[in-house]
Amino acid sequence: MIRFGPRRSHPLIIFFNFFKNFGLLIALLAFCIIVGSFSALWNNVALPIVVLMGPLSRLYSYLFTTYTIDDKKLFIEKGLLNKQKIEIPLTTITSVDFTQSLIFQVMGVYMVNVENAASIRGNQTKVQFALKSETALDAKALLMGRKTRNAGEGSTHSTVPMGDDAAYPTADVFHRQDDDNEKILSRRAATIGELIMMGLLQSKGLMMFQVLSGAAVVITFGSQLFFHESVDGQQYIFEWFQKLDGIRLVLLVLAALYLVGIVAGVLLSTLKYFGFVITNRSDSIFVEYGLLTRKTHTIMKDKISGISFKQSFLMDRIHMGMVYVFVAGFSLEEDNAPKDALLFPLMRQKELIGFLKGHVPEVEVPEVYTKPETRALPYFFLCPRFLLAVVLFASTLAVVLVPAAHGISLPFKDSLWMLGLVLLLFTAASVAMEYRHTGIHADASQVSLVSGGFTKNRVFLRIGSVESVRERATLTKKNKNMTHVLVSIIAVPQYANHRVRNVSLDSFRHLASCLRY
Amino acid sequence: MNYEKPDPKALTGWRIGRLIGLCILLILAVGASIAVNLIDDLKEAAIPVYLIGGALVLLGLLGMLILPVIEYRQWKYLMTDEKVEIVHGIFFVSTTIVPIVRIQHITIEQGPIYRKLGLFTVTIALASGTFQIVGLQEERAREISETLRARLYNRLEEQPAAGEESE
Repeated sequence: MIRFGPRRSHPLIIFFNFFKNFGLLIALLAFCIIVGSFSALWNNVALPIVVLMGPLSRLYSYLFTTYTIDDKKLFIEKGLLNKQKIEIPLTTITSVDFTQSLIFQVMGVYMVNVENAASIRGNQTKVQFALKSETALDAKALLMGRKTRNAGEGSTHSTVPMGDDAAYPTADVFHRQDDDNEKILSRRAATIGELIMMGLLQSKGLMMFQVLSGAAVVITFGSQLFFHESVDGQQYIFEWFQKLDGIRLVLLVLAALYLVGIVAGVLLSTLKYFGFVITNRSDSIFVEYGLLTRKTHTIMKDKISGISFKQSFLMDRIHMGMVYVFVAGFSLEEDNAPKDALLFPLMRQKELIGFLKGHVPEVEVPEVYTKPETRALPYFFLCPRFLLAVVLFASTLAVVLVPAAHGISLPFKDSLWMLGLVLLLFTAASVAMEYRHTGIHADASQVSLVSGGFTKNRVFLRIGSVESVRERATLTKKNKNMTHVLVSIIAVPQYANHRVRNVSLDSFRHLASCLRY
Repeated sequence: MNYEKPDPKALTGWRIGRLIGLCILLILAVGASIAVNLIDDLKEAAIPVYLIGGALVLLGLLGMLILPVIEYRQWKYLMTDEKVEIVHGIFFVSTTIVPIVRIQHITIEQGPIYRKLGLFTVTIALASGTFQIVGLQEERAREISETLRARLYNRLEEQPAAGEESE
């Protein structure tokens, strides 16, 4: 019996990812207006064409795609010339989540993301469509099989409350999503302070790199606006930069990048995870967050493969960390980037024990880890990042010491070796910390691995979710009872493999004996 | 434990594979040598090109003769009622253990070289990746596939019973 549809998605789907799609075009237009010349737009006429391709393909998809839900399946019919019919049995659906960007929030529309186990390795069966909020809640109940089940039990429309406040959905609408038959065990919200702390303490390496790539674009455009500005023929800003010596300039750039990284980190994490609430229910975990783009995830507890407790260098100092989750069927975003599987923004190490006990059955913080032997320390230094740092340092030193290299012209040539040395020491410290952190634990219910240098990563994997274990080393190393261990679990490829280096072969044998066959 | 080894003909297969790679390398090296001889601007680079090209071809030749022997010596696999264990590698030797209940599907495949030699590869697919048992005679490949399938069904049938027991 058909319970929903056949119907099209909401037309707002055409403008999904508005800023992502049109951001570059808007920036180019703004630049043209500031400079007072539209020549840049005419010279890059391909850009508007490329930008409009996305919304046009979504318009086509909107016009020629219909969605139907009956008691047993979700049925999608798409295409005009090349017709395609997709049937997804309701029993295979692993999660139905909502996303709401700012425009969607104003218009009272949800983007509904339906995933099933097949979306572990790609996007082929991932379904995304937009619906008005109350229709979306209704569809979610049908897809999760709640309405059908209730109808059978004689209580129709009891699981998803339908209200009249859908015209402008607030956080309350999201809260109502967890008003189903499941018993709520606990609910915890992240404070603004915790979100700001997370932004402050997060590792700044990636953020600095992102700022650097963004800065490169800004400098390219900005240089045309500022560096060419001169008073009586004097290009003041450009000349001021030229006067700085090498080390000072590098330190200045690094300090500026770090500061911008901190500000950007705090702002982004606060905006992204604003209003973070995690609700622990008897069979599932419900997570909601976001200021501009509001997201909700319902994670079935039996689908959880593992948990990760990630600590940047600063977080480790104050015994705090971020909690992530690995789930089968919790897959990829539209652009194939892995979904952010944050389970709680910032948590004290002490709290983790109780949190795991309450939220993830079979997983707990082990008391003892098997650490690498002392003789394994030199082997930790045999890694690409340390070898690369050695080569870079040797090259910078060669530029100064080797007479044949004296003819090479390089900026800040005489001080380059100092940068090489700093990089080498930094990498050596990171490797030494990795040796200190590394550990492995296995028992009948879970495998726990600790790895990472400046960023410490502790993962707790349910033994029932482990698909394979592998050890890999040279024969010489194996004779010394050392090896690398790789544990593969059921999760998206980005989170499927977890590795520790240079642990004992005995710990691998113990791990293999603990596996559930 | 009784580990099994691939068919000795696999050694020939690996050698042919490496020989094809070596031929491509040889063509590139010869092409580069001709280019540095013909183009005046590149003549200064002739000696490094000869040295690097020669060294790569020599390494490829040694690789073709020696590495397959080491690879074959270290390749072995074990199948029990519960798991598949695969040991392989040349410089780095890896041991992989896959519980049979985790297997998603099994494929028997044959590339052009293996087709000539009458050999097959059994690919074991999991949600997180794939593993291969290489260099098998057709009969043995089908036997492995059937055994794994039967054991998988047996294990899956046993599982609910175990669950009931625990309850």
